[in-house]
Amino acid sequence: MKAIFVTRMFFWKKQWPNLLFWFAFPFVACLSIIHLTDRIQEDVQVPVGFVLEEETLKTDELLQKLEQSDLITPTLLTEEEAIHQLQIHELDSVFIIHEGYEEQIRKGNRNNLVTGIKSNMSFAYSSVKEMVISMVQEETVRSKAAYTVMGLNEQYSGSDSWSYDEIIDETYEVQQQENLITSNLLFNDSVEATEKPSFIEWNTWGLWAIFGLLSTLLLMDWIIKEKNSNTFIRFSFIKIPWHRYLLYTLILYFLAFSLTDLLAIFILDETFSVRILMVLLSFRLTALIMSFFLALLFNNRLVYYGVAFAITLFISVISGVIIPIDGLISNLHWLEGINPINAIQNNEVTISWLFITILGLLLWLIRKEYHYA
Amino acid sequence: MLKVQRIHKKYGKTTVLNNLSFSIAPGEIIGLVGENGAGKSTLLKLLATIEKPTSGKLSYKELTYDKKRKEVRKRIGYVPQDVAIWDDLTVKENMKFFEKLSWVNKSEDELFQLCKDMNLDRWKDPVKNLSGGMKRKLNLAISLIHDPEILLLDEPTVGIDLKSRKEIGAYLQTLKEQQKMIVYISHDMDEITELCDRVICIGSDPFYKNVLEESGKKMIICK
Repeated sequence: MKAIFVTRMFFWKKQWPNLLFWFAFPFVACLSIIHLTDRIQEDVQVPVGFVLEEETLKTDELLQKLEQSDLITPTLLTEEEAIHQLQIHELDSVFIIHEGYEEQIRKGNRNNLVTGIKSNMSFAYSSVKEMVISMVQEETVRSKAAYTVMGLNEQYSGSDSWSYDEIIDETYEVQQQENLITSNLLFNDSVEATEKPSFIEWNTWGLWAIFGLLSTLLLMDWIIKEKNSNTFIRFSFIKIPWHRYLLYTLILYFLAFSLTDLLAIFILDETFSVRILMVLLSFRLTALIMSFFLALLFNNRLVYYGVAFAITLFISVISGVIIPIDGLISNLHWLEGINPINAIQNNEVTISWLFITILGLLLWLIRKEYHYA
Repeated sequence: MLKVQRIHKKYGKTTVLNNLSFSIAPGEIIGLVGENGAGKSTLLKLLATIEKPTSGKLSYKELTYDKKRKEVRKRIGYVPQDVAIWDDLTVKENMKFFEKLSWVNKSEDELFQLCKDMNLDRWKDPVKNLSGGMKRKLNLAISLIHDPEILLLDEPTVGIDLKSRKEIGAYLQTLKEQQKMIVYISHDMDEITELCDRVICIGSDPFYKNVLEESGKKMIICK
């Protein structure tokens, strides 16, 4: 194996730019797609200016709720700045939260609390206005409810005396508990996401598998190059026969690719676990053996590259990683069966494809003709 | 002694070699001549253990080809007709590549000396920049890394200049003096008559036979 490593280094020294490019390609492609999507998502959020004429607990609460919205990017500004930015269309619209907001809310009064200003290009004004109104209404309703509870307590001479703030806090607590019931379940030890939910949720390992498969296929072109070089005849007269030379070199590529998989766990911000490592390694071994057999079938590298791209495109379509095809898959279950990246997409260890490819490799190794040639 | 006893070789229904027997002694150079498709390369592949005879027996010393193929192979240096070297690597890297995977360990100095003996001095040059003659010399040098006792050459000088051809011929004479057994295919009858001790003439074309009779070389005829 050491000899194979030394001899492989002769080639890798010459091919390092090519190797570096294809080893780095899945990282670059995955990170670019994920970051680009995030940027697009940020861009599609409507920029809205907010002017606070008073800064109280209630106005802070309102702003916090607005910041949690997927639809808008709220910016806190002075009235002058906000109007200027609206005029130059930096903002879609401006909402002024008037002085006395908290006091009016406490009174259960919902009129004239907020003023909305729009320009001739405020395409999202109506939707944002409705959203702000609903939030203000929620607060006034909460306030009204608190006063009603206090009134009832007084009317029926309840033993507990509840203050306004205590009732409001209680309503938030109840609301939060209800929200917890509908929250997503989390794995043990995992951290709850603090970021806003995205419109587009990429399956990170699905993307990694697609680009990883392409780089694996393209880096396996060494088989065609070396097969076409006439040197394979020499392997009959040296210590390591041709087929074992190919196998050992494949193992070296597997080790190199495994390092990139390990790096990917950290670079793509996924939590390291033995399970995820097994998921990645089983996929990688499957992809490598499949690419190995495919490369053995070809003598022309250009044709092989074309087939490699076509296979990657086909798998990316049937896997639904890039284009969601849930509707199609619900009718064609066999697509999941033939999809070699299906397991990694579902964070599962690749078993069936790995078994088939390893079996194929064993059969290839023990083929009788290799024992004689 | 390498012995070939009554070998037959058939591809399907076509007989390529029929009842051929001969032996080669250490320090002997045997030429293989015949028209294209006569079976010269097939015979060389049989001697090289790459192919099996349909019938008959081959043996080297006490080692029979069918039972001790691996052991026989260790003693064979095979120079294929097509240059079998890595174009992307340098001469040095090619030599080290095959040394690392060979049966023997050789130092870089020994490998360099082997190339130097053949006037192949462009040690650090990429193979793709070498002339045809230089490539042929490297093709031969790689086959000699493990000090084979039998050297089988399939047209090792085809398509190269006269100087390189003479240099390879001179080197083969050196190997002969080292008691190597050499089997050599060529279409160049001057080369054959000059280098070889005996010649196996394969095929039915009388041309080769006539030329060899004129030169007075010992012949084995295989029709």
